[in-house]
Amino acid sequence: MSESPKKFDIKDTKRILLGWPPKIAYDGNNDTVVSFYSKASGQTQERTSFFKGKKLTSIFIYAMCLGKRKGLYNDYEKKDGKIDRRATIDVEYFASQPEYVWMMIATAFDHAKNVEDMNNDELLKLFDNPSKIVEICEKYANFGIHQLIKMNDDASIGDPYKGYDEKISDLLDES
Amino acid sequence: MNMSSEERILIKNIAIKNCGNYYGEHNIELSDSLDKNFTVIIGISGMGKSTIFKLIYWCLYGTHYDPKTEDTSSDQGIINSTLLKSLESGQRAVASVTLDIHDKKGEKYVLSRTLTATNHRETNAKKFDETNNSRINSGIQIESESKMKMKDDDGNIVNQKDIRLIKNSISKLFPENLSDFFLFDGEKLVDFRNKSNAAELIKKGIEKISGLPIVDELISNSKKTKNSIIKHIADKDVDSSILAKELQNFEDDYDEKTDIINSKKSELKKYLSTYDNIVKKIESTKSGKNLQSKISTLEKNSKTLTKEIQRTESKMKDFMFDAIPESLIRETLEKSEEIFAKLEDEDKIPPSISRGAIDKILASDPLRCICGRDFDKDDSAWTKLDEIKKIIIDDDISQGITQGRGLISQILDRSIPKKINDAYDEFVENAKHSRDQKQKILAELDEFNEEIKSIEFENDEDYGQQKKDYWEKISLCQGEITSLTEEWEDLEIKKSGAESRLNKRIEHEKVDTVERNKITIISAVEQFAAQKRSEIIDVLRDKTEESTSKYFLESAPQKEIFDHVKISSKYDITACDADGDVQELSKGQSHVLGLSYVSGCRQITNINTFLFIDSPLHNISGESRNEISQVLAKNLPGVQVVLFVTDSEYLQGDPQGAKPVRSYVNPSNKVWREYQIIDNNDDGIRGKAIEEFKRDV
Repeated sequence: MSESPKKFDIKDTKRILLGWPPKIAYDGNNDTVVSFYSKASGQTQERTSFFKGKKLTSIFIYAMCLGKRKGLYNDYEKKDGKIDRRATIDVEYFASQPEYVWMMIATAFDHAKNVEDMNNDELLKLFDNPSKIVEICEKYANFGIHQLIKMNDDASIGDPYKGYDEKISDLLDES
Repeated sequence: MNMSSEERILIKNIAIKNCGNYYGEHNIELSDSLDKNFTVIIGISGMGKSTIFKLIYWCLYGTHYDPKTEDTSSDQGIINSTLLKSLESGQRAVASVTLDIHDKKGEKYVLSRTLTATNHRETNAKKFDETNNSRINSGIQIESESKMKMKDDDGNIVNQKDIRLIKNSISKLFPENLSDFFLFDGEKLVDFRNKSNAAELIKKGIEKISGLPIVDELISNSKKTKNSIIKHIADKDVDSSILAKELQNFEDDYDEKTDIINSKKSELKKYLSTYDNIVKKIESTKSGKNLQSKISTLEKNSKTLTKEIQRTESKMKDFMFDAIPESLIRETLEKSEEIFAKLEDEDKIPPSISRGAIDKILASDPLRCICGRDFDKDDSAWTKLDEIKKIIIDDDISQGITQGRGLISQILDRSIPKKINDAYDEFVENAKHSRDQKQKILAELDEFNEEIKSIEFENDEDYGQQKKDYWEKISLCQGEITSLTEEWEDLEIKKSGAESRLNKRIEHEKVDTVERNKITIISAVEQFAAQKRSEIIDVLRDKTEESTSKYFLESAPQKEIFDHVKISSKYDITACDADGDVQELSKGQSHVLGLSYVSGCRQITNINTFLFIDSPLHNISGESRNEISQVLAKNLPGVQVVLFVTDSEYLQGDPQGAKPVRSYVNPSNKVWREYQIIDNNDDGIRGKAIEEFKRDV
């Protein structure tokens, strides 16, 4: 470490985020996904939405974690041969949620090591290439978002968080 | 509320002639004493106390306290209705109210309002007359005249008849928009027992104090002008006109929904008032009082449990929000920890140790490593540790990596399945416990409410059933208001979305540059006004909170349990203890909170004038009534107070334990003079009259 002390341009979460692309994306070619992101949070949110008052970043992280847990990821869908990377999730919101940043870094490291078979030096280079971290995480989120939509759809008026309740029970049963 | 005699401005005398249910001439002289500052006007319900209150308002402002419409009017107006009905063709009747307004030097103004009715022709047809605020015979014409005796700049006495000049002079002394703070309808105190009614009252009060209607008018006019320019531009473009139509539809729906909500709120207010009256009737019997007392306790417990359930559910949601992704990603985090550990072994990232940890080691006495080994300052371990510390201090990278690994470690620690399981089980158990408790309480409440039905009341009324019916109506109405408010909020969002879409479209049209520039300027004015409005409201809310708090903490029954009064951004007013926890208020405490609010607002507005309170004890009985009476007697020193009270509440106690109000505002102590309203039969015309009430305490 002392031989190459300036190798990683990292000091704190904000510093990490400085090198990141300004926006994280979801799949704009999938209408269900677009509609879920626009309705689940923000101004037009459902009144009983689980994400009421939260940012899109939380939806993204939820989706990414669901995908990573399953170990499954989706590439961006293509329409007329083109992908639509709908970059709308502001990275700046991660500054107040450093846990999310490190969940993403951990996801990218684990994927790079165990799926892409990168060696340790290549892994370290990921810090210099945050776009790669984001790309990996977006893929897991692209898969997980469909699970999240399903969990959200399980809601009823009397039990608006049913899907989430069941998910936590499942997780505890699995453990 | 204490103020010096120099600052006071007050009404010394009220003269009423042929107004309302008063026939003939009647004088009420009011106290100008600092010590015996109370004047009391006593009358049974419906006798005409509120009429005097409303006549004072009419005389001050020339407008009606409760303006009627064609649909809501009755035969009762300003001019005595019996006198008006007895008018034959060609005859005239005169009604007037005169107020002698005094300052420190004595008489300052004498203000009179006079209505003269002339019957021009015999007819049975009726019409609504705005001036008299009633239905009158169509053959009658009513003319009004205002007069104010005052001194001009040279000190000469003049009789001013110019309505605008009179209005100006009165507005300086008694601003009409602040009249609630010196002509206070005591029935509004009941609103302080209901969260949303109190919030509505405070919102309106703060807006009145702030002079916001002017700002609101500016915002509203800016919006109207902007919308008309936008619509004008939109007409020239098909897409824009579709969007403009969409916006108009949302605006119409929004306005319609606003009207429906307001009407539902008035309906709810009426139901609550009737419900309170029914409860009062039930409490008038011994067994009813006993049952109602148990019901009140259970209702209070039920409310507390409802809040507990909501709190638990909200905490549970927050917990799930954090715990689910952390549990999902746990395995990945563990693997990343292993990766980072390997990188650390290979010296590719800094060790997971902070400068703080090294400082702790270096500062220990004796010097002791975390492994337990003691060492000296000249020891090689010390030197090595110091070197590590220097590296960490000098190295930018260490903090970020250390922080990240620390975070991962924290997440792994709190997402240990057993910890999550225990916390989740605790939430589920707490929620279940509270729900079971509430279920039990509701069952008990049903039983007690059924028992009320078996009570026999003197008038054979089934108050138990009535109470149940009204409770259902109240619940239904509250539910409707909640659901309508949600729809209203949704419409507000849709309206603003449609507005934004239309604005964007117009922005992209690149036509009518001049018109678009106008929109930009108007929008800037609107935004600035809205921002200032919000700032003014925030400041005044804080001031109202502070001054209400001051009076409440001085005068509330069991004041020692309270620490401060809080007014939220939604104008909800609550009294809190030292920990900031909201305390449930008794009826008496709620009314005192209302009085404190009025006193607080008077202080903010520097109103140094009288306080006339109509029915301050409306719908309140027992110990709560005693509490209010004590507050009235003790906490309004130096203010000219006129109380309009019923004979029963003033002179008698009630079965629930209330003492006569008179025993608190003892005439030998606070009250300068008492008047009673009596039946009168002068010239064969039945009406009411006012005479001094003389009876020993």
